[in-house]
Amino acid sequence: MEKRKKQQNKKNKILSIVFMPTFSCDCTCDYCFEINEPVTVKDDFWVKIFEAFRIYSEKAGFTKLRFYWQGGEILTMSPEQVKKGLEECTSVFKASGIHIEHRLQSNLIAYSSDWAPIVNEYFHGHIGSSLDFPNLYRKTASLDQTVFVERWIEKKELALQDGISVSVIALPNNQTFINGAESFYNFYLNKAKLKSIQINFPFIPPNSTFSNMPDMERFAQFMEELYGIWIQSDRSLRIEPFGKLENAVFHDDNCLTCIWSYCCAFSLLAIDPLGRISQCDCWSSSFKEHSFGDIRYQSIETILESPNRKKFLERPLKLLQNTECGNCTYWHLCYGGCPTRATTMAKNFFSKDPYCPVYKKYFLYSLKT
Amino acid sequence: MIVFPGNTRITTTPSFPVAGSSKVCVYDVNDQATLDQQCQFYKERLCGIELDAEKLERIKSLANIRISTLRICVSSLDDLHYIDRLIQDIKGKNTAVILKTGKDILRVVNYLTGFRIKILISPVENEIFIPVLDELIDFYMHQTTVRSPIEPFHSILQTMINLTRITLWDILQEKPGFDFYITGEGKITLSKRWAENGRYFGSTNQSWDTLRTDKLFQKIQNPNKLFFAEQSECVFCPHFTQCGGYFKIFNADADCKPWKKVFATLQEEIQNVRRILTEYGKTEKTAK
Repeated sequence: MEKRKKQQNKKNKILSIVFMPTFSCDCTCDYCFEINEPVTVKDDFWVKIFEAFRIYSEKAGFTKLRFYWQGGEILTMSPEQVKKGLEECTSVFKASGIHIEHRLQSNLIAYSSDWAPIVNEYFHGHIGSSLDFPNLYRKTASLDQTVFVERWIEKKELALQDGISVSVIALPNNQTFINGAESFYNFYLNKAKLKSIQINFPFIPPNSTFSNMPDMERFAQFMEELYGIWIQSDRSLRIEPFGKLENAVFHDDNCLTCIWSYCCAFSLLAIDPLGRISQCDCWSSSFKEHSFGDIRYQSIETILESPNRKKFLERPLKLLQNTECGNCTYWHLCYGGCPTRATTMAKNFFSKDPYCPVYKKYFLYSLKT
Repeated sequence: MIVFPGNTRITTTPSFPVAGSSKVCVYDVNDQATLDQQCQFYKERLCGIELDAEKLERIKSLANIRISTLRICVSSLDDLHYIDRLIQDIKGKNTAVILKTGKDILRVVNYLTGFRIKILISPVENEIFIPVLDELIDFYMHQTTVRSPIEPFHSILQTMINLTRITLWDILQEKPGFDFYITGEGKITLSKRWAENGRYFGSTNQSWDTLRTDKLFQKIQNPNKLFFAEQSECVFCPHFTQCGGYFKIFNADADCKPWKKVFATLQEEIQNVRRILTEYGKTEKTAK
């Protein structure tokens, strides 16, 4: 079954779209890289957005589109608004033969059972959320970091009762490393009672006062320890990128996370509530000068010819030709890593991902194990 | 004009179209118009297109081209730029890169194998590849994430573990009686290597019946027999099964030591893998 799905995915030409119908958010997390503005997609704009993607996808031969609904915070919109958008999408693509998938990313704080029918019908009954351990930076205007975690767990339980599964993205911090990998693992498995988490690598948002970046050496050690615990526990908690790396190495599945793809610009882009297109949500609000274009004035085909996008297309080969990445044993696993992290942390778009030492140590340990 | 039998593979240029039903590979394809025209002309008979990487600049798209193999000659690290522009089209095809450089070898093979592009090096390009053979073998054998073959290592390895019974002649498309190569001047021989050594069977204006009576053509139909008849040192070499005397066909004194080392290394790697598997099997039994 899994094999058939993989074969089908290989045949499919998939475009992933980070879809941000709103910039509004109910959180005030310290490390957030997005602007929190009351800008939400207008009712008459849904069709324009989906039409633009339909026309482009038909021309470019995409057979499947994945819309990753995220913000801002989607749940700051009303269920009716979101449902309208989803219905417009279905209607626009109805006769196209293009398969549409929707995924939902939410901080869960505004979750109520009113959302359950929509999530179950359109988002495969699943919400991707975020939760750190320990939580140092995630909060709202009225919930401090500790209460935030309690509230999040309550909301997750409610979602579960509504038949919705929840996974999280976790951003480790220096306190995570002090506490150790075991307590991190136990928190997600036993306290948050999750089945699936994904570890992301934090970066410094531009124009931000946040500067508490993880210590690379301790991060690398943490990844190694966590991987060891994960193996010993028979992989009972699904942890990415661990699972994806194993699939890539042992099961010939070429689908690693976006930061380790050859070029994220091949199959990923983001659109904001106003119709502006950029590489991904990391670039959308923080680096407006890197925008590719605006669907209000241009077709997506024209937008993707933007010199700003060309830079993303050129980056991997430049790294291979001009940096140590080209001679690296792990080139096939990371391709120089993420341009956002290179830009925000190394201040050079055409440099390798500064998490390189963490990746390398983890790759080595993982492959050895 | 010659018409080859159906069970042959002809490598030719666009200037010498091949009639009949044989399979055809076309080299020296320089632009989109020629590419389209060759695909249109040969249809299912077209088994390959060979072109220099820089010529890809004149190709707008490969997306709708139906060819079984695309062979791109790469002469420098900078050539990857031409491939990268069309990589979305190229990676979905059965693409092989013929390496013409040993410089920056790790960067080049890292890039190509990242897209699962098959790599082909010519064992007779001694000056280019001998300095990097060890590095290449090590990469091919020990790079955990490499999924694409580096030839001729890959096929030699398969022969050694008895998955196939082929020699370098087959791997490098020099199978007498099956492979033919037409030069830019219309001369016919076995391969580019044979043309470079000035050995020809005839030319395109002859008939097949005349060509097949050519002395050289007759002589090389069974290279093994030839080597045995000449009491060549090759027949006493432990690697003759895989090599078939490929290196010494023109010159009995040709130096094949570096490639003997390659054969020996691959053999040793197989022994290592067999030993590990045996030991692993024992451990498994003990554990049970």
